Amino acid sequence: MTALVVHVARPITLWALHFIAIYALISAACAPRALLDVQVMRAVAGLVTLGAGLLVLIWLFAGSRRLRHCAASAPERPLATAAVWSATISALAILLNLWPVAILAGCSG
Amino acid sequence: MERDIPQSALDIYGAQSALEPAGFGAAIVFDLTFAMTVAFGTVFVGVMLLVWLAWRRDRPARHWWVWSGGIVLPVVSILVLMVASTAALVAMTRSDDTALVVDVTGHQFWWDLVYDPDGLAVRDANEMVLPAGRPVTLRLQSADVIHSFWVPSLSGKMDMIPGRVNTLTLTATEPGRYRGQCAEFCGLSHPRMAFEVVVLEPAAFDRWLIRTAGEARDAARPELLRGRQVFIDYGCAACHAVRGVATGARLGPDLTRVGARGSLGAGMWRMNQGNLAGWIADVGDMKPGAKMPSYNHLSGPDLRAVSAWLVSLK
Amino acid sequence: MTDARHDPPPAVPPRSDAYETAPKGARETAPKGARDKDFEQVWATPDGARALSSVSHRVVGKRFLITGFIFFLIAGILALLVRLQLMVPENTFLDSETYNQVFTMHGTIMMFLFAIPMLEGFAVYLIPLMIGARDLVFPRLGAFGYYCYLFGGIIVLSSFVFDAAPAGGWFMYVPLSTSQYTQGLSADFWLIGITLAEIASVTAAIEIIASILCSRAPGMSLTRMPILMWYLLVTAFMIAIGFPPLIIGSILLEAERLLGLPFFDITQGGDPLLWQHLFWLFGHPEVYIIFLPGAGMVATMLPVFVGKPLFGYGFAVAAVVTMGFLSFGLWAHHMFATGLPILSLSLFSAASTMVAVPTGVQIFCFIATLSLARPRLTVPMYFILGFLFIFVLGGLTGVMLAAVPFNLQAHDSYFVVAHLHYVLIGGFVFPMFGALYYWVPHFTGRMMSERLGKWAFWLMFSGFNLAFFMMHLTGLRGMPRRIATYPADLGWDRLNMLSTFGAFVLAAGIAVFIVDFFRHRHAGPKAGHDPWGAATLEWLHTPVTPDYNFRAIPEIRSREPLWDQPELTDRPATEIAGALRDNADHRRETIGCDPVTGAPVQILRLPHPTWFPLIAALGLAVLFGATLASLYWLSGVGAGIALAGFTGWVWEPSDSGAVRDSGIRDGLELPVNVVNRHSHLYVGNMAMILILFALFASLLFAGMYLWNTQPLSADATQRPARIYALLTLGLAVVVFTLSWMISRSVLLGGPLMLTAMLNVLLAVIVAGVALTLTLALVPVDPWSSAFAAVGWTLAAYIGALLAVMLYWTLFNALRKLVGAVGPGQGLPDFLLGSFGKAAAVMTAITAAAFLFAGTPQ
Repeated sequence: MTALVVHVARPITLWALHFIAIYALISAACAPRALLDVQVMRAVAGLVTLGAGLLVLIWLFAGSRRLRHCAASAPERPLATAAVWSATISALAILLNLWPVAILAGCSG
Repeated sequence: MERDIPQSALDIYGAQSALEPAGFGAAIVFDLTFAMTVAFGTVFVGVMLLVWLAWRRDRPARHWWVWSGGIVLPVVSILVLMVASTAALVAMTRSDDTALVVDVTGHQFWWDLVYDPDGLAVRDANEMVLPAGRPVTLRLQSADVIHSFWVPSLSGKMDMIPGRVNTLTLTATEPGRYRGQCAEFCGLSHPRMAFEVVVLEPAAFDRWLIRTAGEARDAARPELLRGRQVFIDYGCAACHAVRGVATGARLGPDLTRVGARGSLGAGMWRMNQGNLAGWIADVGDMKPGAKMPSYNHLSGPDLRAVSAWLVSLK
Repeated sequence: MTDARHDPPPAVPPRSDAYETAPKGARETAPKGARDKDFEQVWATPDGARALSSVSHRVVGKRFLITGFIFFLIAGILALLVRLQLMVPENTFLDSETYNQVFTMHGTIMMFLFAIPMLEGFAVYLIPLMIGARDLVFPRLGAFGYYCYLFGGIIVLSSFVFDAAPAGGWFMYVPLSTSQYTQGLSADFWLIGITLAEIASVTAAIEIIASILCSRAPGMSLTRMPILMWYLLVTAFMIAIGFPPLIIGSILLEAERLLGLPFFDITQGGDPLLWQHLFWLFGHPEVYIIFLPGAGMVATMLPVFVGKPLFGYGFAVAAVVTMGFLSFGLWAHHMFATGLPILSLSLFSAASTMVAVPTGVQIFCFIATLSLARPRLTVPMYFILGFLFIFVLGGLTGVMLAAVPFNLQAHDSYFVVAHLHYVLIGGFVFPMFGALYYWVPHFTGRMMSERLGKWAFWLMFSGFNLAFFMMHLTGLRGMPRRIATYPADLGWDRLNMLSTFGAFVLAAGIAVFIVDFFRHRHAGPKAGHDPWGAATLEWLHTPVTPDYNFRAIPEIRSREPLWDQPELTDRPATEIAGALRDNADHRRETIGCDPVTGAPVQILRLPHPTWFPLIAALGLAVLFGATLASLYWLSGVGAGIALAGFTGWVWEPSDSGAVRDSGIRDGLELPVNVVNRHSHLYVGNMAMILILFALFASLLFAGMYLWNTQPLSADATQRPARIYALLTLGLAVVVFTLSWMISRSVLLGGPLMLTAMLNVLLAVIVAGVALTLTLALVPVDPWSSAFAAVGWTLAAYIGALLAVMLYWTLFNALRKLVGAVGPGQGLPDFLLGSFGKAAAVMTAITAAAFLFAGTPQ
C-alpha cells in the first residue's frame, strides 16, 4: 500500500517540477537579464515536456492496468483509483503548462 | 470640434463601463464576456439541475458522472476558453510602431501626460485627448506608489509601477467622453484619482494637439490679468507650469489648458470657476492627502481673479 | 438492537430532525470501577483558572472555534460599516482614512484571524475523535499555537485603540506600505501582529500532519480513514509550504520599515513586484487552504444525510491531492495587470483554468453521492446545498477571471469582490455553519433549533446573493475596489444600495444563528446517541464525549465504523473492547500507528496539563509587542521568557525504552515512544524541516528574482569574501557529517558518552560556521542594494537555524551530563540529526550562492 501512496503522489509531483521548469525557462528568457534566447527556451521547454509527458503517460497506463487487476473490495483499491486519476489530472496539467510556450511566438505574444 | 461631445464625463451613465465598449480592446473583452457568461451560465444551470435530479433519484450514480463532469466538461471548457482568450489577448496587446505615444505618469493623486514625448512633447494633466480609430501607445509609469490606468469603456487596465514602464496599446473607436479611474489602491485619496478621456475625430485631434503645444491662451480680457498676477505672486508656478506664463515646474499638474478640462481634481468635480475657487482655497478638505497646500489665505477678490483666469485657459 | 441504518430506504423519509431521545440506560450507563475512576482522573481537564493550562485538543479546539467566531463577528461588523458607507454615492458616513482602515481590517481579520483559526479549530477538535485517538500528538504545540494566535490577534485589534489601524489593504502592497509612504505604526501592527498569529497556523500544520499520519486507531489504514482526514492532511502540507513566503515577505517589509533595508526600493535595485510575488505565492494557496476543509466537512456530512458512503472516495482523494499541488501554480493570476510578459500571463492563465478539473471532480462526487438514496433535508443539509449553489457559481466566475483579457477589465473591480466572496463564503462559511449545526451537539450535548436554523439559512442565503450577485454587474460597469466613495449617476447607485440591503439581511441570518446558539445551551433538546446517524468515530459516545475520547481504542475495519462494525454500537461505549484500557503508568497515552497501514507500532505518551506553552507564547507576545513599541530592552525580556518557557517545555524525562502491553489482541506488546522513523516526533520534525526549507526557498526565490529582473544592480553588488564562503561550505559538510553520526549513534545504540562528545563538537563547529558566514558578508553593505540586503537576510536566516542547533545540541549534552538520559532514550539526538542535516544543506546552498553572487570590487 505504501507503493500506491507513492503512485498517487508522484505524477502531481512531476507536474510541480515541470511547472517550476517552465516558469524558470520563461523567466530566464523574458526577464531583463535575458539569460536564454526565446527560441532556445521553447525548444528546451518542448523537450522537458516530452520527457515529463511520456513519464506520466507510462505511469497512467501502468496504474490503469493495476486498477483493472485490483479486486473491487480490496482495501487498497481507493488508492489504486486515486493513482490513475492523479496521473490523468497531472498529464492534463503538464500539457497545459506547455500551452503558452507552444502557442505564442515570443515573450510578448 | 467638440460638437456632440459632452462637457464632462461626470454623471454620464455608461461613461465608465466595460459593458459600453467604445474602444477596440473593450469591444473584444465585451464579446468574450458575453460568450463566457452564456457558456458558464449554462454550465451553472446544468449543474444545479443535476443536483436537483440527483436529489430526486434513487438509483446509484455511475462513475461516468464524475468522469464527464469532473474531467471532460472542464477540459473541453478550458480548451475553448484558452483558445479564445489567447487569441483575444494577442489581438489586444498587439503593438503598433506607428502609434501615437503618450507618456502617462501616475502620482498620488493625479495623472501627468506627455503627448509625443520624443517629438512635440506636449505636456498636460488629468484629461487625455485621443484620436478615434488610431492606436495609441501609452507608456505607463509611476512617480511614487503603484497606480493603475483604467478606462473601462476603452480597454483593460494596466498597472503603473515605479521603476517600470508598462505599455498599454489603446484604440478608441467612438468619439465621445469617457471616464477612467485609478484601479490600484494608492492611499488616502485613491477614490478621488480619476480622469477623463476625450476622443475626437482624427483630424480634430491633430488640430487640437498642435494648438495645445503652443502657449496658453486665456481669453484676453484685461480683468483676467489680475488673476494671472495672483498666480505668479503666490508662487503657484513653483509646482504648476503654464506654457507662456510659467514653465519648468513638474511637481503638480500642467495648467496650460486647465479651463478646457471637463473636470478638476483629477476627474472629480465639474470644471467651473466656483469649484476651482473652492479647490484652491481648501484642497485639503476636498481631497485629503493631496500634496497641494490649501490657499485659504487668499483674499476673496484674489481668489475670484485667479480662478477666473484659470478657467479661461483653454 | 438492530441497526436501522442499513435497511432499505423507507418509503417516507424520516423526520428531518432525526435524532432519537433514547431512553437513558440503554447505552451509556455502565458500572464504573476504581480503575475507570483513576483513568478519568488522569484525563480530567483542570477547572477554574487552571483550565488555561489545559492542552487537551478538545479544549484547545473549542478555544480556536470561539475566538475565531468572535473575530468573524468583528470583521462582519466592519463589513457592514463598509456597506453603509457605500450605500449611497458621495457618502460622508466614514472619512477616507477611517474607511481605508475599516476595509483593510475587514480583510485582514477575516483571512488571518477568522478563516484559518476556525478551520484549525475544527481540525484540532475533530481529528483525534475521527481517527480513534485520545488527543493530538503534540497537545502543547496546539495550546502554544492558540495563545500565539490570541496574542497576535489582540495586537492587531489593539491598533484601533492606538488610532494606528492598518490602512493599506489586507495585501499591503509596496511601495505604499513602506516607511516612505506609510508613516507611523499602522503597517507594523499588521506585520508584527499577523506574523505572531501565523505561528498558530504553522504549528497546527505540524500537528495535523503528525497526528493524522501517526496516531490512527489500529487497522485504520490510509484508505479507511475518513475523507476529511485526507482533506486536512493536504491542507496541512499546503500551510507548511504556502505560509513561508508570506512570513518571509513580512520579515522583509518589516526590515525595510525598521532598518531601511531596500528590498523594494527601485533606486537601490529593489522591486515592488517582489512583494507581490511573495504575497501571492502565499495568497493563492491560502484561499484553497480555506476552501479544502470546508469541502471536507461537506464530504463528511453529505453522506450521513444520504445514508450511504461518499461516492468515489478514490476519486476524491486524487482530486484533493492534485488540487493541493495545482493551487501553488496560480499565484500570478493576481498580477495579470502588472506588466508581466504575455508568455508568463498565459502560463498562469492556463494553470488557473486547470484547477477547475479537480474541483469539478469533487463537486461531481458530491452530486453523485446525493443520488445514492433520498437525502434528509436537515439544517446542515441546507447549508450544504447553499455551498453547492454559491461555490459553483463562484468557481465559474473564477474560470472567467482566469482569461487574461477579461481579467484586465475585471481585476481590481467589484467583479473580483463578488467572485472572492462567492468562493470564500460559499466554499467555507456556508459549510462552516452547516458544520456548526452538525457538531454543536457534540460540543454541548444539545441540538439547535430546526426552525431557527432554517430561518438563519434562508436569511443568509438570500442576503448573501442579493449583496454579492449585484457586484458582478457593478464591477463590469466600471466600479473599482477599495474606494471609499463614488460619484453619482455612473450606473452604480442602485446596485450599491441593493448590496447594502443584502448585507444586512445576511447579518440578520447570522444573528439568528447566534441567538439560537445561546438559546439552545439551556433550552435545546438533548441530543441522543449519534443524533444524525453518522458513521464516524466521534459519535461513539452519548451525547457528550468524555475527556479521554475513547476508553479503549477499538480496532477499525471500515471507513464507516459506526455503520459497519456492530461491536461499536451494541454496547455502552465505555465497554467497547480495544487497546490501552489499562493505565498502569497513570499517564495519558494513545496508540501510534504505521502511517500507511495503520498497524499499531507504539504507545504514544501525551502530556498532562502544563503552563509552559502559555509562558512561551506570552514571552513571544512580549517580544513582538515590545518590538512594535520600539522598546527593545523589553523585547529581550520577552525573548528570555519565551526561551525559559520552551526550555521548561522540553526538559522532561523521556518515556522511551519501555515496552508495555497494549491491550490489543493476544497481549501485543508495544514500545513506548519509539526511537526511529515511526516516531510521531520524527514525523513532526520532518514537517518542521519542510517548513524551514520552504522559508529558505522563499528567500532564495527573492534573491534569484532580483538577480534576474534587476541584473545591473545585482551584478554591481559586492561579492561576499570568497575564502570565508568556501570555509562555510566546508564546515557545512562537517555539520552534515556530525549530524548524521549523531543519528546513527542513537539508532545503533551507541554509548551516551560518544553522543555527548559529538554534541559538543557539533556545537563548536556550528559556532564556527556562524563566524565564517558573518566574516564572508563583512565586505557587503546590506544597504547598498536590494540584492545585498537579501544576501544578508539569507545569512541571518541561516544564523537563526544555527542558533537553534547550538541551543539544541548543548541542551542534549547537558541532559546526558546530569544523567537525565537512559539507554534507548536518544530521541532528541535522533531528531537533532535530521535537523542538523537540513540546516547543513541550507548552509551549503547559501555558501555556494555567496561564492558566485555579485561582483568582487
